[in-house]
Parts: sequence; structure tokens; C-alpha cells
Amino acid sequence: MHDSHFLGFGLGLRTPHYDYVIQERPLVDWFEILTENYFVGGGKPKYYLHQVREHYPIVMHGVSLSIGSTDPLNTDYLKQLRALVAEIEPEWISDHLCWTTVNHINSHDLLPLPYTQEALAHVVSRVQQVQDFLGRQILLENPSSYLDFNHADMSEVEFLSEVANQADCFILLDINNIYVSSRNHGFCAEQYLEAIDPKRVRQFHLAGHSDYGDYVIDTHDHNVCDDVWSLYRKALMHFGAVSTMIERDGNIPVFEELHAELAQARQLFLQTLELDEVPKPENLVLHA
Amino acid sequence: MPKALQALEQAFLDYLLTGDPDILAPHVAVKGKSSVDTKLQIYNNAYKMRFREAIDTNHELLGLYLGDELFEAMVDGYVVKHPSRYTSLRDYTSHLPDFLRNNAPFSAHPILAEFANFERLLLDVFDALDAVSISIEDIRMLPAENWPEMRLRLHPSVQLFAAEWNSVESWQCLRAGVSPGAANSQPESYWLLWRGLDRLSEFRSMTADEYALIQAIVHGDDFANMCELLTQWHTEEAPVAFINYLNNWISNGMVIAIV
Repeated sequence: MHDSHFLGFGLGLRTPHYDYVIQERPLVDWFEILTENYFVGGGKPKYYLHQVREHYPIVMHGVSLSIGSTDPLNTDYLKQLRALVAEIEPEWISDHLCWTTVNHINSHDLLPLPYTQEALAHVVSRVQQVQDFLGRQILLENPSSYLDFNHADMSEVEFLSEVANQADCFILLDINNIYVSSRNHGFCAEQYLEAIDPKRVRQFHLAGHSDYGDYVIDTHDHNVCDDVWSLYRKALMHFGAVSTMIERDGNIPVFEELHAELAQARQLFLQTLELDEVPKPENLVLHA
Repeated sequence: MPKALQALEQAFLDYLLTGDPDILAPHVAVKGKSSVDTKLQIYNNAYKMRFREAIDTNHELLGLYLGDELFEAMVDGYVVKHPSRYTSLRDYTSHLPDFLRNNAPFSAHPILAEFANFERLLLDVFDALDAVSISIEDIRMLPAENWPEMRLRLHPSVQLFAAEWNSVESWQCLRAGVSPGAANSQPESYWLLWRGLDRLSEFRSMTADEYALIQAIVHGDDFANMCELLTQWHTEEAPVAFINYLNNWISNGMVIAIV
């Protein structure tokens, strides 16, 4: 039914919720942190992170690996990443199938790759280098995008699947990003799901977006919409039990509101998979 | 080197830096309901918005001090002049004080660079390395005969700031929701910033003698030299003044070692 990496239902750990999470210890199975926010020497972010880590499993989610960049891999970044992994002992780490930096200028955006054989070989090689450096497999997330390129050799989902297979990494499947990109590029979101090997998928993201009619922008500042819930249900039918979390980065509500939205995901999970209770996470090591 | 990929990434970045759609449009597929121009514009808007948010987050009160029109002019100028070479957006604004000091119309108002510099130091205090502070009890256990040659190590968060304008006072007014009044040059004032024992960033004003003392600590001077330095202000009571300052620094978590 589920593999030993199933963690249950998580939320993104965000600054406005630090005190609530530490004091109230809400019933959340795990938290996802934004990796680069903790690349600091100390102070409040690290203090709170360690407090949370004492009671919850953590996964790390980065935005600066720039795996598709033609710049050399940023070894300073990788060293910081490796040090934080050693410090926090996350269940897994993830970043995005995109590029952010070229010629050492950082766009601070998750920019789309051309889905060509040349880019595929480049990304596969870099994922392998990163995994060798870190001594562990990583997860790559499908990006949301607003344009794609006219000389592509394959679709995004074919490219993502090939990267995962050839580099032997895992996939963080962002259900909202599939929806956003399907609207922006006119592809079928269900076919995208069905083209992915379930063995490669270790985590789902859910999030809200801004709908402008002709295009949709991945803003993470709204509740999950009905169409994305519907796609999540289809994803559960195809992939089975996959660790699921909700991302919220703008217009952040009180913790209880996000918690209620997560309960909605849990309910949909139970209904779709016809279960009475969520499977217990296995192989978790919490700090004492 | 994947040459086609490298060329495409460079074209994408050049588009973001210049806003010229002709650089990237020939590479973009016509798909979905939105036009190529719209697709490109989404990325260009996001590029500027991301840096604008970083400046606003890192320099929250500078934006209030400048007002909307000047703030937008500052963002426009800074984003063009300073493409990010940083991993963290936290560091992206590190050149902002220099930008305000050296570029019109901001350079005509020296208080702006000073104000931005003060906010930069507050960020540095917040992000500084952790270190365990010593207590008053720790210092009481030290043999008195060793005191003259002892030196202090300050917490990594400790920062000094000297102001020639009423920048900090204006910052405090805005923080309290009060109009800061006009910019005025004034006799140099001194400020001490640090992260307290409860991990909150703190700052307070200090006198010229304390400012000189902390500079001496940073320079590596021993207790005897620091007492000697204090005689410029305290003549016979220099050791007492030194002990009082030392007690204050230690009780506020600013000292991590006496060696």
C-alpha cells in the first residue's frame, strides 16, 4: 500500500507560526523547511528550527541548487547544504527542475529549461554530482512555468521522468504546478500524472495560485482550489499513499486555518484510497 | 559545455536585465491562451517584484522614510545597477547604503545612506553566528592579578554604529509610528547593536568613551590599555568606569570570553 518513506501529512514551517508550533505542538506529521532560510550562523531561525526538530520529522526544500544552470555547481552552496543536512537530519531534501543562475548572476527565480537531449544530459550529470557530494539521493520538483521553448525534443514530463531514471533521483510532484503549467501551456494534467513512474515519487506539494483567465500564476497565497483538489485525488489513485504537504508563502493565515486545509487533504486521501486511517509512518528517527 | 543551453540561459537573463522581449521571443513556443509577450512579461514582472520585495523586507522603515515615489525610484535604479550575485536575497541589499550615497537624487540627502546602513547592521545582528555568552560569575572566578593583561571577545552579533545625522532617531520615530521630522546633521552619536540573551536584536546609544572602549576590544587591547584609554574621560575613576561597562556588557550577553 505504501513504502517505508511515507510520512503522512505535513506543512511548510513558516516564521509567523514558529511560536504556535513550539507551544501548541499541533498534530502535524512533519514539517518542510525552506533550506536557504537556515543558512545563517544562528539566532532565532536556527533556535526555532531545532525546537521544532525535537518533536517533528523535517524535510528540506531548496530553491537555489540551480540544477539546470550552465554555471559550475556552486560548491559553497553545496557545502552549506551538506552541513545543514548533517545538523538537521532531514528525512529527505529536494529542489526544483529549473535553473536560477547564469554567468554568476542570480535571477532568484525558478526559470524553465528547454527540454532537449543536450539539457537532459547536462541535468542528469549534475544531479549525479550533487548526489555523490551529499552522499544521498535528492528529490526534484516539477516547476510551474509560463513559457516553454520552441526547439524542445520532449515534453516536461518526459524530461522529468528521464532525469529521475537516468540520475536515479526521486520526484517531488507538485500537483498545483502541474495544474498551473497545464493551463499555461495547454497540456493534459491527467496524462502528465499517468506518465510518471509511481516508484519515483516520494512527496506531493499542494498550493494555491492566482487565476488570470488566460494564464495562471503559482503564487502560494490562496487556499488550494477545487481543480487542484480534483487533480490530487487522481494523483492518489495513480500513485497511492504519498507524503503530502501544503505550501503557503503569501497571505499566510493563522496556523489553525492551514491545519484545517491539511485535514481536508487527509480526508480526501482516506476517501480516495478507501482507508479508515492514515498509514503509520515507518523508520522515523526523532531526536529525544 | 552544453552550448545551446548556455546561449538560451544567457538570452533569458539578458531579457530579464534589459526587458527587451526581442532577445528571448524567438525561442518561445506559441502555446496556450496567452501571447508570447504576456508569457515574457510574467517573468520580467516577477524579476523586478522579487527584488523589490527583498529591498522592502530588508529595509522596511527606509521605504517609509523615502515615501512611495522615491522608494520606487530607488528600486528601479538599484535593480538595474546591481544584478544579484548572491545566493540569498538577504544579502542582495548589501550595496544599498553605497548606492544611496553615490547616486542622485539620494546622494543629496546623506541621511539616507546612514539610515540604510543602520538597517543593514540590524540584519547582520539578526543573522550573526550563535555563541555562548559568559556570566558575571565566570569573571568573578578569574584571578585578580591576571586582569591587566586580559582581553575580551565580543559576541559575533555586536556591531558599532556612528551617526552624523539623526538617522537612528528618525528610524525610532518611524518604528513608533511617529513622523520623523526633518533630517539634521548633528554631533557624532554612537550606537551599540547586539542580539540579546532572548535572541532579540537590541540597540542603545552610548557615549564616546564606551564607543572608544569597544573599538579597543575589537582591536585586541587588554584591560590595562582600556583603563588607560578611559582616563581621557574619567581621570581617577577609570577602573571603576571600566568595571561598570564590563558588567553591563556581560549582563546583556555581549561577551563570550575573557582570555
